[in-house]
Amino acid sequence: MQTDASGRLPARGSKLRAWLPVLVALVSSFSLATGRARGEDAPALNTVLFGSPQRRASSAGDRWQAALGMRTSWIGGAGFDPFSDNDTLAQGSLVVTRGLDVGARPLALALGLSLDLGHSDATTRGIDADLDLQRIAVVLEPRYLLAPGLFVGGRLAPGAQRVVASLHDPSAPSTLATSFWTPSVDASLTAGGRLNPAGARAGFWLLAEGGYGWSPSHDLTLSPRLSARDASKAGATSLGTLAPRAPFMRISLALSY
Amino acid sequence: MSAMSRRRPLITAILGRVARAILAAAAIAAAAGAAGGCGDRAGGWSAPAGQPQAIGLAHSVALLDLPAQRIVALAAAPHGALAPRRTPTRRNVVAAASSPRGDKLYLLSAGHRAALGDPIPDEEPLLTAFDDGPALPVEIKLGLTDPLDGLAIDPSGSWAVIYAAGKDGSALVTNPNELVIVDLAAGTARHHTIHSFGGRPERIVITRALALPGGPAPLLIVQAPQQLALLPLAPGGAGELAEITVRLAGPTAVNPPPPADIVFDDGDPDDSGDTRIGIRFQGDRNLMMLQLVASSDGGAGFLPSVNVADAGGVPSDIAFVRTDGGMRLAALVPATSQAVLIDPVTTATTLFALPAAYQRLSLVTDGAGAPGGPDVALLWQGSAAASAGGVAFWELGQAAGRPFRSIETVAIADPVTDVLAVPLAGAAVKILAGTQAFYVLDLAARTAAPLVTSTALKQVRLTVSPTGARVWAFRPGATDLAVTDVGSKQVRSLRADSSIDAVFEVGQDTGDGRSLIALHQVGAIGATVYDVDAPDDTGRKIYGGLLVEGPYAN
Repeated sequence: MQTDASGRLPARGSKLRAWLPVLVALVSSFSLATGRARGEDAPALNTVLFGSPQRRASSAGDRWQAALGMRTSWIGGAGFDPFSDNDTLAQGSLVVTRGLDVGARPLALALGLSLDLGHSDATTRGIDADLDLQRIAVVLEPRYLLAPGLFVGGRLAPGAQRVVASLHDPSAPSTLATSFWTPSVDASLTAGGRLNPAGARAGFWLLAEGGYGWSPSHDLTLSPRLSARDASKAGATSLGTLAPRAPFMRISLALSY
Repeated sequence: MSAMSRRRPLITAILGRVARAILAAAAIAAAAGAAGGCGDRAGGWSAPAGQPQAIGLAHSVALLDLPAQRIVALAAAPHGALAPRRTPTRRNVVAAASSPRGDKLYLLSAGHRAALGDPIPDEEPLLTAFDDGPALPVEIKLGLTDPLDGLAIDPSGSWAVIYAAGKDGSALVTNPNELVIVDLAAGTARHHTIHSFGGRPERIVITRALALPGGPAPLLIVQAPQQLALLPLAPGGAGELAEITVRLAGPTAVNPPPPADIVFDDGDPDDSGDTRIGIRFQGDRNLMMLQLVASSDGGAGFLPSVNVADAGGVPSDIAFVRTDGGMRLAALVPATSQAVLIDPVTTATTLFALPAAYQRLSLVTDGAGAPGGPDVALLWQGSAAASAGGVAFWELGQAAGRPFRSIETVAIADPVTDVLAVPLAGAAVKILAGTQAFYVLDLAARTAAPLVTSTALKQVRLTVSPTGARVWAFRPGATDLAVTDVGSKQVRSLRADSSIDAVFEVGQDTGDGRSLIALHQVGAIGATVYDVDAPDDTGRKIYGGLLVEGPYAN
């Protein structure tokens, strides 16, 4: 692995790596919560979050699911080229869903939230270019239970995406940057398989998802980050149009209860 | 069997499944990453911008972004706006030149010769004319297989001459005396091999249109170590037959001195037989003068009449001048602090004692003399190492009768190293570059207003605006910038936020306004744009990453 002159790891993907512990901590917290739920002092929290044991038994399935995974998108538009030398965007994903009993087994419905945190950077024309893409979305996922511990489904996830682009050009007095929000929608097919026996209180799942993430095109117009007093001196530098919509695939490991 | 022992196989099974799932997920993610890697971006994105050659045009600054195989023209607009215009170029650009009016940029490209299986198609050497505007480029085929790398444009912008400027051709066999003469208006090219006594072209001079015996035409002068080739540039010219070759040394000369300077004069506009060429040689006291007299021999319509005169010392500069005694070749001989006037017909010489060892001269008749009258020459040292002698006006209207009263000095305490022309017809000023200051020389009043610099002037770059109204001064690699109004001598200091490497004053693409584009040639190239008509710090606009935006050719 290459390091820079100071012996540090290269900056590429550093923001993603910085977020991964946060995602791990969130899942760990969930796991700890369920662990505590087994203790004598936890029934109240257990009941509040996951319902009574009778209700869980009657629904015959896992209600809450937290998935931590990696999402890979292939963005072919020229607007993404300054920030990637292979058109690939990797994002860390956290998806939390709650299953709803719709009374039509083997059909089920899950609702939840998803968070994708991604970063891409590249050396472009000799300077560093960075792009951060952060998406938060509502998850609506009908599932079909093929067998105990195995399901397929479809997922629709409307949400919003924040884009932060920057160029670190020594010819400019400060970093050239822009940021904006856009709407986004993911449509995908999902499949999940339970890795441990269905009788266990907590379930471990492998989830796979493939689909298309859409968000509208947006012009990337960067300008130096100057104080408000100097903002009028900032000329705009265009990087073309970014269309962060692309097919994607996500592989996750999930914990359910 | 205890409960503990029953649980162990279950836990082992779960952990095994989790481990296998993680391995499977990693394999799938790796495969996805590999598949994603197939969509590589165009190579131009990864090529560092470097320090592209910048060429000032009338309304834009053209950056030759050759690693990305394109030109990025920075067109200025009102209020500090900058509109980059990107145009792809052909492969392997070897030379670039702008038209004299700044409305065209010419690129000479070597093209590409594809081997079997080469994904890049064949491309022949081309001359491409890029418009300083939205018009599409025009390509002119040169009929070459191997590229030439020298490009010269005539002062009228009508002709281009392509020649072998480099010494190391890549081809197995190269003809270094082959020229490609391009009629830029017609978009046609013809080949011409100059006569040679074993040498090769070292310098190309294209004159303005001269009244030649065969009709008005620019004259192509090709300088080689032992000869000059003279070729009128006329549409449908006589080709090989039109070339006149002048041998510069006798056939027995072993190491003849090479030419150091070539000057020309059209003579009387109504007389087509008095065009003259003067030649100064390196380290030689002799001057050669050619008069192109009408002749029916050959295809050029003229033959040169050759005279050689001794300047009395090694001359440092020459020019044809009009004196009260007629046309003369003036030469400066700094070793003896003298000037000499040579009659090109009789080779009679007249010596003038000078107050200093002036090494350079230029004609300032338009600003300092009477229209249509005898010439006035400006003399200066041309070297920072020279002792201070200021500059001197040489009144050539008094050269014949009162030579001792023909010199008038302007006392400047600084050796003058260069004289910058103010590109305005009839401009009565010149800019003198000293060592610690530059001066606005008023040719009519014969005064020199000093403008002192905080550092040695050799560290400062001076640029006279195309309108002649301003002088821009900056220190390369620093952020200091100043503009001096030539008329009022008022100085305004301006601030840049990144180090400046070059400045260009251009006309805005709409209206009559003008902008100054200061280039910062680091990273992906930045610029600061100032409104020339009201230059101040608050109105500047700062741009960075100008060479980042695509698209790029694959």
